[in-house]
Amino acid sequence: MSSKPFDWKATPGLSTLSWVVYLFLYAPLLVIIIYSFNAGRQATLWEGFSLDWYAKVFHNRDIGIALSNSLIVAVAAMILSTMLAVTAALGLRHARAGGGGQITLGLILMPLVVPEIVVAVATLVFFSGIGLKLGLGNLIIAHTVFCVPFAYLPIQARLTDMGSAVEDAARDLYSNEWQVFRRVTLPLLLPAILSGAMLAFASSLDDFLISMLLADAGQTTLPVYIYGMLRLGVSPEINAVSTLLLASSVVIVLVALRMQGMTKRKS
Amino acid sequence: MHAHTNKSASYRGHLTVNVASPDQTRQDQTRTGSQPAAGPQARDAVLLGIDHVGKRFGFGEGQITALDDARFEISDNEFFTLLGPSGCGKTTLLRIIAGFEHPTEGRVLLDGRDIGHEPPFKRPVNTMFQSYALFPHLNVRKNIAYGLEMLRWKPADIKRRVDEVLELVQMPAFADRRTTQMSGGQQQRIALARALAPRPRVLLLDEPLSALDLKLRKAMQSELKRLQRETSLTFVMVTHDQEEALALSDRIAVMNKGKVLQVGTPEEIYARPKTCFVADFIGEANLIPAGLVGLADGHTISIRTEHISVRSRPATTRRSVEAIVTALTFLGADTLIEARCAGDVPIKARVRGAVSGLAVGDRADFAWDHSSEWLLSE
Ligand SMILES: Nc1ncnc2c1ncn2[C@@H]1O[C@H](COP(=O)(O)OP(=O)(O)O)[C@@H](O)[C@H]1O
Ligand SMILES: [Mg+2]
Repeated sequence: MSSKPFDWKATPGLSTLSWVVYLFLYAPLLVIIIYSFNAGRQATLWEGFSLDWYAKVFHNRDIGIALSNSLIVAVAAMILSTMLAVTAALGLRHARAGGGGQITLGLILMPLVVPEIVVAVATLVFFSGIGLKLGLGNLIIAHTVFCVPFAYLPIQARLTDMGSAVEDAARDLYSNEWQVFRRVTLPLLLPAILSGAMLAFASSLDDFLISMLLADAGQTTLPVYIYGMLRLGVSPEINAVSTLLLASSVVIVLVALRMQGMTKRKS
Repeated sequence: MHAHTNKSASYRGHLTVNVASPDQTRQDQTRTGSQPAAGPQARDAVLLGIDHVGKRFGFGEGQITALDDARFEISDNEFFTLLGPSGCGKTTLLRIIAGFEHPTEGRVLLDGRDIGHEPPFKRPVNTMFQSYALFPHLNVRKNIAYGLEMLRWKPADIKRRVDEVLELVQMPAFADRRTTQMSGGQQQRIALARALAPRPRVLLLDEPLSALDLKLRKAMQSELKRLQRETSLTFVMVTHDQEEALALSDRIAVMNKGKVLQVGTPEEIYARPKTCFVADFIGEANLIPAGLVGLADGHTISIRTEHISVRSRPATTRRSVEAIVTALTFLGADTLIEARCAGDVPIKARVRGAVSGLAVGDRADFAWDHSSEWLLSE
């Protein structure tokens, strides 16, 4: 009998295993990033440093359109889903276990667990069934729905963290409900709202399946366009676009995390 | 300032005439002590009336009665304390006075007007929260100014008042600090300053000292008392610490299980508890069946541990019971002697200094003067 408490870190081979996982996770990304700066056409042969592929990307009109589609959808979905998330979080704040609020919460978080392909197919069938043809609007609606949980979770976490005492204090100090919201709740929630918005933006920007199924001609988003390019063979241009997409996602998520860090330090 | 000190000292002696008390007369006959008569001129005007207030949470089976028919009155300029064990409804009553909860029965009267169903922001009542609840996104000055801004004070007046209350809580150098960078004790002073700033009619304090360590707690106790005198405000404090309540209050309401059991000055509550619960909760008291010392059966008498002497020869003028010592605990200045008398009734005595010549298992006489025993009505 060992008197030592169980320690995960002492598991034999754990550190080797971690490195293998890291390798499989990050090596492909690293390869893409490195070869996006390759001077030659070969996908596996390094021929020197160049920014040619990035120049090509910036001069490709189709990529420009796909990028602008992606941005329009992501920004719109971000704004709409964040607004819904704030309202839902405030509304469900005092939901008791087992009550109707709990069910609503489940419905809001559903997109996190329902397989995306199911959502994509269902949305496609539904939209064509009711004859909804709003162009990019279709995409925006679909993205808003699956972005809500990403926006909701940080806001809800912050509300729980915050407790109701500060708002009670504001009420006690002669604020009506609107003033409580404007002067206390909203400022305290703002970093979490921004962080939720960033996460919503990033997940909309990265979405492939739903956009793939719903986008008509001329509504191609960047991930869908990249997939289309792939069918013509792997070109270093894809490496460059992917690296740009990766970089923007990383930046957005880092900003979101920093926002959340700010809310932590404040409380 | 001096006038207030005198005033609060004078009404410490008042009887609790507000509380319906069927056995008041009997108590007054038995031991009235040196209480002055409660003349109308000595008593301050009633500020806050808790009039048959009840509060129930939930419905049907799971219903909780947090507060049951509470009634008492709080005078202007009084330091009033709600004292009771955890879960007895103190916070609920405080929240009803603040307006965060509305009573299911009864009225809350402020200056004679029923405010029971007004929202908190319409009541001239401020709270110092247990968790301080300072606004983390505002600095100290903005925190204190918050209520004044909501009341639309002029900026110049706000600045003057903020400086004034910062001075009052002895934190003038902290005006531009972030509240998140301050210690618990400092945050507490700011919370106090914030609640004092709008000059409320009543200041509510929920367990204000419970989060502080012992030394800071003692310092803050005298600080609170000083603030109450200097501001001549009415303080209503919640605590579960009987020592704190006795040290600070002009009057105390002892609560248990949603009921207000007794309202009175610290001296009254301590010397003449009405129920076993109050006797037991305030200080250390022995509860002895009256039959054991030859009094009427069915009653209970309470004797404070410090009023019992052990092993002194039984004298005719003194009561005594024989008991077997079960434990001796040396407490520094005192020794606590625990014992069991006939019928397995526990009895405790607190005697000065160390005890010699007495051991666990010994038989001893536990004796006290007639004047230090108190017949409980319930
Ligand atoms: N919002 C609420 N909902 C349901 N029960 C409550 C609520 N607030 C308090 N209670 C109950 O009322 C009783 C008194 O609580 P409280 O006033 O907080 O006691 P204290 O402050 O004396 O510890 C407790 O049993 C508590 O569980
Ligand atoms: Mg409490």
